[in-house]
Amino acid sequence: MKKIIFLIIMTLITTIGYSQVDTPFDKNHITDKKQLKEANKKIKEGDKLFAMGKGRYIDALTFYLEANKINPNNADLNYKIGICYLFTTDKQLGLEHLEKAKQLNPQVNYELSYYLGRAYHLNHQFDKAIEYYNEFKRRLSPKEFAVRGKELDKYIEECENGKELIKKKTKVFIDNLGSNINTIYPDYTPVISADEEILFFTSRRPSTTGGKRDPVDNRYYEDIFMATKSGSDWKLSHPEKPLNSKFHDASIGLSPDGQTLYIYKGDNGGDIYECVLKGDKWGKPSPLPKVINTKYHESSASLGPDGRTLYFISDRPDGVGGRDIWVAYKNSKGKWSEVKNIRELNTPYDEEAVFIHPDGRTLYFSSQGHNSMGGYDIFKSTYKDGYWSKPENLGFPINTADDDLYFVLSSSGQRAYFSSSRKGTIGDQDIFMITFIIDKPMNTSTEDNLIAYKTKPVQEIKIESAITIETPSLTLLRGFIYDEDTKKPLEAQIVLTDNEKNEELAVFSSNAQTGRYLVSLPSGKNYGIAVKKEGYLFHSENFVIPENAQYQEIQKDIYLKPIKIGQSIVLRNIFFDFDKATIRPESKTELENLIKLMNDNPNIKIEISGHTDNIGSAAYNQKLSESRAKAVVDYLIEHGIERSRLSYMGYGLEKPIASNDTEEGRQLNRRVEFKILESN
Amino acid sequence: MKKIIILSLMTIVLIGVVNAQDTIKIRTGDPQIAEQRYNEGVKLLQNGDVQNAISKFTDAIQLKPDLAKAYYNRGVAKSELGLFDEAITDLDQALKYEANALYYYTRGKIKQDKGDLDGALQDYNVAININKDLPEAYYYRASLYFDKGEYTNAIDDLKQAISKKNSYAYAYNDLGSCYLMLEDYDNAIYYYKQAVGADPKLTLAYNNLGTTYRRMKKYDEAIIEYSKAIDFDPDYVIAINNRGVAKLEKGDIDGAIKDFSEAIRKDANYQYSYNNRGIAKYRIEDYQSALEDFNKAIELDNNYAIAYLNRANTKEMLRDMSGACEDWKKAADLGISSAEIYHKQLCNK
Repeated sequence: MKKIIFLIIMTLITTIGYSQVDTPFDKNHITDKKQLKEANKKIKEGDKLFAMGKGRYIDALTFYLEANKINPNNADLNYKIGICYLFTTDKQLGLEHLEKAKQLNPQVNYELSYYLGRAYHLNHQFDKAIEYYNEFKRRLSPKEFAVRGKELDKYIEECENGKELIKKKTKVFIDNLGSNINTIYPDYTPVISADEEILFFTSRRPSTTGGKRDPVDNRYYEDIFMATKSGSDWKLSHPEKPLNSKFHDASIGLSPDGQTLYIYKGDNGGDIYECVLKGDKWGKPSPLPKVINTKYHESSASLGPDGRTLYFISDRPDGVGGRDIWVAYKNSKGKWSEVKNIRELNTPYDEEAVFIHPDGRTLYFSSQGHNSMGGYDIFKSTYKDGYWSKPENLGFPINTADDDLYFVLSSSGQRAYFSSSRKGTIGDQDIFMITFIIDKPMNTSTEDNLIAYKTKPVQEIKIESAITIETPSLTLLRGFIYDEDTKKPLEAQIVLTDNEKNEELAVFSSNAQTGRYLVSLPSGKNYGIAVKKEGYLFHSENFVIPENAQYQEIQKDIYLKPIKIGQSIVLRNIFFDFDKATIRPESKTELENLIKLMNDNPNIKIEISGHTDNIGSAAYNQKLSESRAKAVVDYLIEHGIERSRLSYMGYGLEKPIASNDTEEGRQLNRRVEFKILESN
Repeated sequence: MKKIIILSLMTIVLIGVVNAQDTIKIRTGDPQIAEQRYNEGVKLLQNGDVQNAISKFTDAIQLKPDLAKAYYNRGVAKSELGLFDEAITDLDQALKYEANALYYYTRGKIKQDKGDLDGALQDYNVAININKDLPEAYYYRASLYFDKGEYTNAIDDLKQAISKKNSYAYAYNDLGSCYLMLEDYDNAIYYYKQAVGADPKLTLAYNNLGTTYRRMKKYDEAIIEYSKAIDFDPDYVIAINNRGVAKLEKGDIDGAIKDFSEAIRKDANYQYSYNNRGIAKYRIEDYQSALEDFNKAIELDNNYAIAYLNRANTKEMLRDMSGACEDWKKAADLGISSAEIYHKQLCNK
């Protein structure tokens, strides 16, 4: 009985299969005249949009699908629907419609096997894709092959890469940022502040400034959008002029502190502009100097944490090929000067979307070369001992056979943002968030009767060791700067110094309206930080961050003291030899700050005081602290400060500012202070 | 599994009976009542009537307080009833009247069963000093060394035991286990094979052989050996679970799940198979189902550290970070350092 039922079902399936024949849109096949007229109208509308290129596929698809409802068995319509889906919202549906087109009429279009190759490729069925690419290659005339052979060979190579890459999945969660951010139109180039509080991105949605389409690809012009973190969601805003214009304005990079935005404009073949946030207003975008912007295409820019290194993309001559990664350095006068091609990262294909992590040594970029599995894949390279490491493909599912671009990693390294047109997109490219999961070993339990006479088995205890969780070698220092008296936010200058080299590393500003500041401190340095503002005593901080330090965030609000009698500050970056009053060379920058303060305020007289912890006798500590205070005063006199403006005092262990019970407290107590005694 | 327990119990009984002193020849014309009571006790003990045997030995001792054999056999009988302290007192008395190797060895064994391992070791040492041809004394002293992790000492003793009794299957098995612990897998395989050669029905040796191959990542051989153990004893849950782990490590997830499920069917309280099945399901990304298995494993043993660690990893994949952190913390509290690292790095944000 079962066999009979099976036979009947098979017969029915076969009959239905054969009944699906290519059905033209004509009166012989669609008897309802009204429906026929409607369908042909929709197809005509769709064809018009289809001919305009990929930018209008999403619109063409709407018309084609209407017609397809009336007659789902037209090979040509299925072919076009397949292509529209493939390059817009759903690659799987694209493949299904192309397969149906083939089933209805294998000769429906000369390009069918090419698009089937693309469809299988984009759906990660690499062997089938290679079959179709090869089939299409065989059909090409020598003349056609000369034009298209290289492209097909590249696709085949990508499929071979894909077969390898897909074997080992990278453990991540990938989430669409949702309809607060994404639309059915292209939404891409996310750039994010180091603390993940501010997100900028580019969109080509109808609401962009001017609402016009670029005639080149028939998509809306790009505009920059901004989102701020609100709980677990994003609050969207659409900046107006001067950030956005009625032409292309794309966010391409954000300084780690979120105060400088790099944007792309289509002028001059495509140039990079810089825009600075003042309070809550963005300044007018100004183009980067000509050493960076040329008549060629420049796009994508990422500023290193030192504020002196800018990575960008350009297709200028003398590169490796197509768009390449370049780096520009600021000279000692603060001007962008030297520019060089990072040849070890570039390929004859295009590189795009460069991003330097706030750790200053890990570079992410997209490339169509290297071992991409299709389109742009995201790669990582690390700078060590003067060299960039071999680019490493971030693997599947971060990378897919389609374009995966504009990867930016959070400072903590736990999350990343990028744009992709993968499954799960609302439409076209969307912005996704990656959450990295460390692949942790799972532990089995077994036991054996190892000792024959014993009934109690011996348990095999072998617990896999923990996987080392690599975190960026970075300390993120952030907070707000206020006036100590009024508690109002201040726009102050934050000067970052390498104490060992006595070298100024970077200068940042806190936000004028909020006082917010953020500084990235890559591991492996003794940092001096001086917060300065005219009319205030400078504030100094010292951070010694070992090379192997893990990622950490430090929240520190700073209160600047107005210059007036009685105010005192701790000079945290003055260092002495152990148990001596010899000033160490690392103190030079702090002493220069002090000299500048004295020169800028010629009417003040100060006291330098030395303090110790409670280790050792009181007499010894008093003597040491006095000698150290004197050493500072002597230094100031040697450097031109009048002796009459300076006095010194050793307080020993008398005036602790923290508990002497802990090493941290004792460290705070060992200090040099200065105090304003007179100010005329 | 049941078969193993029965076998082991039988072993203890057999050793007791074998070591029970033989009957005493009654001389003609001498009533020798004490000896007669003693002989009746031996027969009863051999027939498994332990309680009545003890009465007979007591009668014999009352009649003849220096009859060492009666103390000895009463001690053996009492040890079979789990009355270790009384048994040791009897053995002390027997040794008072007759210091021989067998008595020392037997007292050592009773002390070992009681958990007095130092006392047992001392007795075995004396027994071996008196009589170097007592294989059991070497065998059990080796087991003490094994428990202390002194595998080379254990190997020396087991080799001695085998030299006195060359078909000593247990000793071959334990020798294999010593080499397994020393990760000398070639020697482990050699001695486990000797063990099944001496006793082809020694199921635990097949299982141990399987484990040796598994540790060598020779999964096909491991599965064959575990299967032999299971063929001899279809209820041998340990071997079924181990075969599942071999399949899991080989990458045969379906086969592994089948074995773990079979082990659970045989013993619904076998927490290890729940844990291991959870891992198999985790591998195929069936996290919800994996979670249920880890829950069950923990329900059966709420101090099961590894299961907490595995459940934490699973909860992370289910995006339940607070649950994951709670489990990493629990696993860390139970002594798993990797869990402590994960908790520190992923939870204190």
